Amino acid sequence: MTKADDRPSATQAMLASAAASTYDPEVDIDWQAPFDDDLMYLPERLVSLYGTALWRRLSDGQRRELGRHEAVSLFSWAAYLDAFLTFARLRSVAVGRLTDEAALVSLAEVSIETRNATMFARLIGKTGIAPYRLPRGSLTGLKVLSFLPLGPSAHGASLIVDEVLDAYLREAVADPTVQPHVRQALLLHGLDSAREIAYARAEVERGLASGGAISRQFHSVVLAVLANVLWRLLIDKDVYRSIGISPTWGRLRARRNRRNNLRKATEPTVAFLASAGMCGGISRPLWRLTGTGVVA
Amino acid sequence: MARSVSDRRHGLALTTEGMADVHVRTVGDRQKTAARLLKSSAERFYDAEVDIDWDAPWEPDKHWLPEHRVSLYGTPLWDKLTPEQRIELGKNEIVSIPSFGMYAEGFLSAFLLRVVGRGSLSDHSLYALTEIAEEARHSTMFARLINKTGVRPYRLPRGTMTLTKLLQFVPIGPSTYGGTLLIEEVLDRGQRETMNDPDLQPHLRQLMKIHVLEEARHITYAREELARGMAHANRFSKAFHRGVLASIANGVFPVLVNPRVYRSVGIHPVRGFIAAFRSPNYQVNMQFLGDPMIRYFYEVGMLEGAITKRLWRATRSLPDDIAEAVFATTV
Repeated sequence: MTKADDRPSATQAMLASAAASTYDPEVDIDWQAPFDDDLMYLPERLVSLYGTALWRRLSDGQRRELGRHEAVSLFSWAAYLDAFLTFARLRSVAVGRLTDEAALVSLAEVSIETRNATMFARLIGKTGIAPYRLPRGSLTGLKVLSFLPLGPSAHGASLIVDEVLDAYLREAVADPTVQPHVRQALLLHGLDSAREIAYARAEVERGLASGGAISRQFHSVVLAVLANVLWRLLIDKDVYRSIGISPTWGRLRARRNRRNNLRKATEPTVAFLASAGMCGGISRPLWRLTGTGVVA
Repeated sequence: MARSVSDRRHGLALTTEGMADVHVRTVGDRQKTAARLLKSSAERFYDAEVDIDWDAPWEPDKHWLPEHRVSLYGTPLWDKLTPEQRIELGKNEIVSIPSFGMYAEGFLSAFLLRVVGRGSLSDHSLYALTEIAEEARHSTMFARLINKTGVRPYRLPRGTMTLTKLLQFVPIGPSTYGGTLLIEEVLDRGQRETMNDPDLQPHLRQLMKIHVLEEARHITYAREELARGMAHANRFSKAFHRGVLASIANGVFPVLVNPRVYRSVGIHPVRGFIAAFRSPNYQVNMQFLGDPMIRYFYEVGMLEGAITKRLWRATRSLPDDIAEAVFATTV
């Protein structure tokens, strides 16, 4: 355990921002306003089939419908995983000093993660589409993960969820063809994430610096496995059923777009992790397997 | 609206305003309850950062816990303590209880996350998320209080964490919701009395008022789920959940106050723990703290079964009339 005053300023920033009045998705998003039937739920370019031969055969309505389902799939991913991330935060309160600054930051993060999960859940509810659930066994996986030691991989998990989601959907915020509710939600998520990401990055670096070579290898592998699993779940293959295409066929046709979009979205995160030393050793082939362009 | 009943023994009022008023016959639709609780959460909440005057100093002549609720009260050890030591012990106990509360709230939140993880992000899930956020705020408030006392938090031994991780594998059902009530209702009951004590530190009274207001929703949520779970469970499942809950009660009640608090007044933890546990006042306190919750457990059928009954009797928290009713029926 490090003393409070040894911690980087990211801690202070987190505490200060948690204390200051932050935004409230309940009032900062106009939930009463209906969706506009002419607007998209995702920017067209981000819909997984965009630009393919299949895409050209789809009507405008089908394109919008597929985008709607892919948006719900992305928001479901974010809502469930934001909720799951609080597991690690609660654990760090319990195994730490309970009332020190680090614990207060973890508790502040719990509030932020649950607020974001709630916001995405509301957004999904408003579309009228059932959420795309994580695969069976995810919860059991989470319970098993809770037996692994906390450390850089737990903070890294925040990055591979929140930072990646943010990067993946950033262009939607300013896109006038996208529903205003979606744009506003993503804007709010970005504001919260910025502080969290800075804190998580600082904690990853601090954790790596204070652990030995074995600890570094261990956390690198855990995080690389998580990245492989979680990034594959980003868009559920069942979304293609909404426009009458089989999941396997849809996924096959969309593979190039998905790879490019993912590569672009994960680039800053993996670049940071690589520079911090979390992509080397045994974890290197695992990172390569994620399809990111950074680790060669 | 605000009703208070007087505690005859000590003359402290017991606030019943806003208490969760759930009975088996009033349990309604899960999503409707969740929608109602969500609305209430958005309308009625506190911000402990501003609603408690953290900059104000402690008042020198106020105490931390009503004397008759201090664990050693009425024991021979108590008689040997000086007035200052009695206050010091009360202070350490008031640090110990929210320390335990923070672990309990974290554990409860982890359980609520499981509810979210396996749910469909409906209002029921959204309320679980809201409750997690409120618990995190309460934990923050407890942490600030503990830090302000200058007493170090009473941390649980590491092994407890492993136990709580294993408990994550207990299926969600009446015992898990009942387990959350064990903590929430017991703290709620104690706070409803203590917050009316004019001799108590004002920060503490305010903290308790905030906690009581928000916990009432959590209690409603858990009570209704408990009743729904029991209504749908088969007899084996019921027996399992009853046994688990009664066992948790036996494990949790004696350690609500961490035995290490006795060190603050120069008493060995084991000696203090035994004195407190064997004190007639232990039963008085447990009966008082458990009263509304145990009546509800009785109502939903959580106190049936030969083993369960005996486990509950061992907690010494059963109200006299409930104990009589439970043991009157043939096993």
